[in-house]
Amino acid sequence: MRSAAATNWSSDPSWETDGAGSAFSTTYPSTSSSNMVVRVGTFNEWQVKAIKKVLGFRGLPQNWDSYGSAAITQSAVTAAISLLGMIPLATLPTPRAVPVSGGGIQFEWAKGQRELEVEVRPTGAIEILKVENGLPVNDGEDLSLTEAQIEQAFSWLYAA
Amino acid sequence: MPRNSPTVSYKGESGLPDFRDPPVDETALSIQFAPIPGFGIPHFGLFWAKVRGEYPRFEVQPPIANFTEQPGPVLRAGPIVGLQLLSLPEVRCWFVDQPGNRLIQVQHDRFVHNWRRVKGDEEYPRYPALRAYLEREWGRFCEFLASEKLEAPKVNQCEVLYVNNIEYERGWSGYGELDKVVAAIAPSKPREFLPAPERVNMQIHYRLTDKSGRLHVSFVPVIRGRDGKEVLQMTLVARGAPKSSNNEDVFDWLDLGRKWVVKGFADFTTEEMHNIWGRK
Repeated sequence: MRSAAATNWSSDPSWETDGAGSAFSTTYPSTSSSNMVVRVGTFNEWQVKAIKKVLGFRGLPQNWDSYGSAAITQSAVTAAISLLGMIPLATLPTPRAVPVSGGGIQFEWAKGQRELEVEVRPTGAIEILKVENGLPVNDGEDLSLTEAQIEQAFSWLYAA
Repeated sequence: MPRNSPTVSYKGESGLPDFRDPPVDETALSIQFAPIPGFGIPHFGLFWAKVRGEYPRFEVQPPIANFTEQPGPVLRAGPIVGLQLLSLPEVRCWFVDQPGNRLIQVQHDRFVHNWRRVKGDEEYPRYPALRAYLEREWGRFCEFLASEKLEAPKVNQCEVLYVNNIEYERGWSGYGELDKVVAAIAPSKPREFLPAPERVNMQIHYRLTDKSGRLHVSFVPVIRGRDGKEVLQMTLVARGAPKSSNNEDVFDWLDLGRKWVVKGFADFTTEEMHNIWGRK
């Protein structure tokens, strides 16, 4: 449920009871409007570190790479944070995260001989590349922000 | 501070906790009403024309659901269920002042005035000033509706929201020391087995003693976008129904809601933190 907080309460605080007094989550709207905040109550440490890196990219100016790149887009930041929040594995290392010319963000995870490169484009669309023993396994696939697709991609990495 | 002094009487701050340096990051004063027949998309633009001099920027957001505190034992603020005409404009417009600190939010059934920190070093302007802003902007909105031959809003809920950022290293250094921040969880005995918590989420609800609404308190760890800092966000929301739609009753309820927010905040937090925030 949306918040009127100008902070991006993309998942607002919420509750309902079952009449017995116990509380479990649902949502109520907030009128807050403040600048972006990311709720990290249930996130693992690696997720928090990665999110902080992504938020740091928001400060990069136009031409940050000295080759005329646009600043990192809000769409890329939002999609990147959404992705990080949906990865179900508690014991992943913090990914290498870098800004990409054009305004996107790239993450790299490595485990054993496998690497997963995830590029978040300036539009917010996401592409993944699987690499094994230094060679690409696929041509680059579009990744939807669905639990099934994310689980499948990271299960491949974790199976290394 | 708006040039016109408040016309709806404000009984003042007497007896309320006051802090020199409160951790407030945002406030929102909200008036919810039954959807106004005939209010459509063009009216957002026509109203913006009236306020554009002071609020030159706009943003479009999805609307917030119409929510009402239910009187029964279930602590569920539910949407008002009913048939909705497809012609109701499903948008929420933000009209933002140049610095970005204040904004008006308008949708077909809600009007909100927000103040927020943007850079992080802005001084909190205090409730009387923000109340005066809301009164002025609400007055302009109601005048606009009348000029467009639309009916006056039938107010059914008011809401007072305060978002506080409780920063680590200011009196506490992690969730193992949350009892230094939150008075309600001071340990009655030392932990025997469990380590310090990794993170904490809490949600607590109170019914206002005159049964005119509820106070909701939540603690959520967040990372703040403007500086990447992880803070404990403490949000207090008072929501309930005024006695009537007339301005006196609407602002009376907002004053009541704000009293609950401020007194609730002081009750919930420790004296140590009050010292850090400069309680007067």
